Amino acid sequence: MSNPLIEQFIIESRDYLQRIGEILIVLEENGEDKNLLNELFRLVHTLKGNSGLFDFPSMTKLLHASEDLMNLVREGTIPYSSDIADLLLEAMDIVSIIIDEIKDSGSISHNSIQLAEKKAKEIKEKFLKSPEKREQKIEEKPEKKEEIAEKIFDFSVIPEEFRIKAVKEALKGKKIILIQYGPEAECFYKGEDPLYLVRNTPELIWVRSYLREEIPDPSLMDIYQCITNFELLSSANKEELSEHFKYVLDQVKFFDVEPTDLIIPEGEKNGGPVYEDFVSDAIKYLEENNVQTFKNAVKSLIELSSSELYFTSVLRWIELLIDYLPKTKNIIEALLQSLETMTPPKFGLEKEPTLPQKKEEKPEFPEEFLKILNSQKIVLEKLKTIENNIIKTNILQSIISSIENGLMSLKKTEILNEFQELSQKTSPKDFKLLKKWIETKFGFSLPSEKVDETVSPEITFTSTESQEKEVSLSHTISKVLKVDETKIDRLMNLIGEFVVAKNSLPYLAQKADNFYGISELSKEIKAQYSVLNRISEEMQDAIMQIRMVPVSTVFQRFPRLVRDLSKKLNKKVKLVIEGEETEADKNVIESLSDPLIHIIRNSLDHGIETPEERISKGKPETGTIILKAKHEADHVLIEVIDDGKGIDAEKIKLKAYQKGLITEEQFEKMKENEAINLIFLPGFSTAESATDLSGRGVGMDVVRTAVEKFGGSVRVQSVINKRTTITLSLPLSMAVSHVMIIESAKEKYGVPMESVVETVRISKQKIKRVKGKMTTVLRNKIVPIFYLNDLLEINKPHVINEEGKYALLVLSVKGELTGVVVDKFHETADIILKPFTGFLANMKVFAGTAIMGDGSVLLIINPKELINASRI
Amino acid sequence: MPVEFKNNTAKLIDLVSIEDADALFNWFLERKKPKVDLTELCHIHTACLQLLFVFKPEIIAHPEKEDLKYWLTTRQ
Amino acid sequence: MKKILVVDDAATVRMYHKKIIENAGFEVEEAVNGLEAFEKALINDYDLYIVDINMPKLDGYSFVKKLRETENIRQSPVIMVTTEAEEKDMDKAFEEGANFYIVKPVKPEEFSKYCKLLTGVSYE
Repeated sequence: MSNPLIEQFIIESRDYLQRIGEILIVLEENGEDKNLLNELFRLVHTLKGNSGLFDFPSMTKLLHASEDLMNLVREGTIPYSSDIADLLLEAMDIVSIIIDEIKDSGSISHNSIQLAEKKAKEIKEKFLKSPEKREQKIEEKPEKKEEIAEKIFDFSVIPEEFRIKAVKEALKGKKIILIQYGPEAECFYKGEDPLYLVRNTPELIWVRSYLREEIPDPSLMDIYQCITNFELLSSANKEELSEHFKYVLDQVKFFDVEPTDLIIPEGEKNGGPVYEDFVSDAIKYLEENNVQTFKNAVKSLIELSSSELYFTSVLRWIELLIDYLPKTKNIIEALLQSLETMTPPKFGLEKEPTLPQKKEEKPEFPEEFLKILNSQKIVLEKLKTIENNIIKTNILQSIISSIENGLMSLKKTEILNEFQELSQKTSPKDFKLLKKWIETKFGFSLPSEKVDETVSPEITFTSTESQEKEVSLSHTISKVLKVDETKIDRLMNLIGEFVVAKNSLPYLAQKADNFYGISELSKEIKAQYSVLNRISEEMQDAIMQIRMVPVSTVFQRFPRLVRDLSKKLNKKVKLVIEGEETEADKNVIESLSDPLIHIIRNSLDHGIETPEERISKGKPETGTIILKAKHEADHVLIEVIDDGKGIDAEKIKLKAYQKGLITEEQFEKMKENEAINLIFLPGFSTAESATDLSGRGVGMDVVRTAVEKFGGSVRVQSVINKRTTITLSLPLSMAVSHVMIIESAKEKYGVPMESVVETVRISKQKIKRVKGKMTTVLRNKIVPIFYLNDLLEINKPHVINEEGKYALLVLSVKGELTGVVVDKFHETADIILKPFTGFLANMKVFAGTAIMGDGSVLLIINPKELINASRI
Repeated sequence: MPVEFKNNTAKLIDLVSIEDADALFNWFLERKKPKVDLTELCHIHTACLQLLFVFKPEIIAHPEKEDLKYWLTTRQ
Repeated sequence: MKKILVVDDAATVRMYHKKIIENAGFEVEEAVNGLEAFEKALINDYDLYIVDINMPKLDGYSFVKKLRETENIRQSPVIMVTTEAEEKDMDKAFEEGANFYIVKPVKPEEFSKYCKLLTGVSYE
């Protein structure tokens, strides 16, 4: 996507849609909230306004209908209801799909257009049919448009090369005529051959022929009936053409074609070169009348660009039009404008921009100025009713500047002098003269029809601003800059690269000293390095801050989910969200989304009981799901608590046993708490029958896998018939990891600190073989022992220190303590983990690599996979 | 004969007139996957042109005549 | 260079307007609602205001009202940018002291002409 305006539109639309969804749900509980209704209206209204900047009529139409509906609700004409909420939610879903499509492809699929049109119609039919003026206006509009559309031929069916040919003829001063020829069915019997006639049309530019009716069964067709229609473009004059078609004039229609009808740039709108520079240059050339440079620029760009691009198509048109400057200036400007907006060019009101005589008719004052004057007259009129002298003076001042500036802009010095003299005599008490001056000076040419429209006095207003005026002025407005996240990612990668690049400086310093023997330079490099180092650290810190987003970005989806699902399940559920402002790295937040959806679905589906069941249990009819986020050390904790039926540990145990997931011995000994955690085993599902919502064989194991993938953990607690709490714990930031550096066989490795429990020294004798496995006893617990060199398949014994002791790293892997013997412990470090890509990604024992301060590469161990490797 | 029929291919030559429409029509009806060769076609009567539109044969070679080539290949 | 304040809660519209006006040779500043616009007007010297009607916190009408109520700040012209539906409500805007209105979506060429006329920048 190369058009920043569309990008902005997409980002902003998504925000609005999100907020609209939220409000709709809050309104369900409190449909009377005037403020929310107003905000909702405003959001839909703005969205509609934004969409109007682009050529997406179906989206605008749907938003328009939604806006009208919201307006009726806001004004209290119709009450807010669940029906309306559903309809609006559906409408916004469609808009959301459309926005996604625009982002992905730059256009809207046919399917979505139909959906949007259908939904707009539905809204209109259901709510907007009452015989009020406003609605009539909406109803009328599309009809009018269709009428015109029927008359206008779709010139884009003509291939560009032929349109170019036609426009060339037109620029040479010829008239282009579109001929539609529908030969009568019996014409073959008269000895006519319409194709022959068409082929011999004078100055024929383009033609197409098509069947005007469908032939469902060719074997039954009458081959002597003419069913073919022709459409053609010619640059011959009308008399000639009339002469040519004189025997079939009743079957022929002629239409005059304007060059601008044919200038339809086409092609792929995405990709290609940067247009903006070109556009600004082009405008400059155009202003300076620098035709040759302009032409050369266009020519070379055409050669450089792929011919399928919209951009290139526009250029081809411009190339053609350049030769006919200045009369084609307007068209070229419109084309350039179209490059900026990526919407079809709008050729303005001047229907015949190629006609040079237009200049003679130019009035003394441009229409725009007269319009401005006219509205100043209206404002003056209003001024009479204003009592406050300050306001009166101020408004008068603005009127005077408006007119004064206009005259200045038009360089009408004489009239300007006259006006300035007059305006000095004007005061809030006496501005009749001013009004009179406008009337006599410009009265004859003021656009009169507009006056009636704007001065209609009977309009009343429902004042909604009274509260808003109270808003304190000292309120500070926090500015938020919205940036596409790929840009942030890019910045982060660049910073990463910078860190690495910076790391080469110490080596350079060393080299300067040792190799070249310039210790002065070496010192200076080192000094410079420490500056760069500090900056790079701050940069890393800053980018981490930028990447922090509140969990609300994920949480905000759930009100809608809970609402829809509870309706579907006929359950009553209230969702309470706490701590949504809690922040974490954007990737962490994103990774939360799917697990949370699954957990909440489970709570709704299996946790919360039906209203009847709840009443019989003496619980409140409406169930509650609490979604809570908070920080704990360098982790973010997310809890999902429901007050449903809880998890029956016995049932779980039995089921796990039946499924062969646990042994009989385990079944006997397992504690309640452990049993509950069995739901995380792959292939476990507690639902007795799969419902529509969850339990289709996708169990909590999916949740666990997803969370663990991001270095997090999940646990469940439950009290039967009281509540279930599921806690997800995820690292705050995945970008920076804290690792402990260890050494084994003279190679350094990083181990994530979250799995390191402690580092101890144990003597060789304390490691004993029990049932074929190496173990030791640590603080009265039996801990299995592995040797890192074995795990990594390095054929070397581990180093023992002077006291004959091994260095033992105690890790917590899946909640179990495990000891790993290494050679040496080093310091801990903050690193940016770069996961392996491609073939190396299969080396699961390592989570990835990190680049250290000295530029060396550190392999980061994935403890879970490391221990798994031992079992194979 | 301006139309030569060979297995599944009809070669249209020079001027194909309304007299040829019937033969062409019957030939099309009998073929499942008709093909046409238009290389040497100079003009085709509208009645025959619309047969091409209806039966949509595979055009294995386009007319050498530029203008004819154009509207035989672009239909609605 | 003449300075114009574009007031609209929709970032897309601000961007669109900004682009057009900048291309016409103006310096552009932005405000996201009437309140921010008013605060900016208190400390800056704008040659023209381009104001949306429906905005949170302080709408376009109230902004114009506040502007015209305030003494000792420059009373530059105000263009209201309206939708078709709001067009009939322009009476209210004129009452509060707006000087002109344009219907959304604005046409770039026309829009820049009005900006030039209302600020005294050479028209052609």
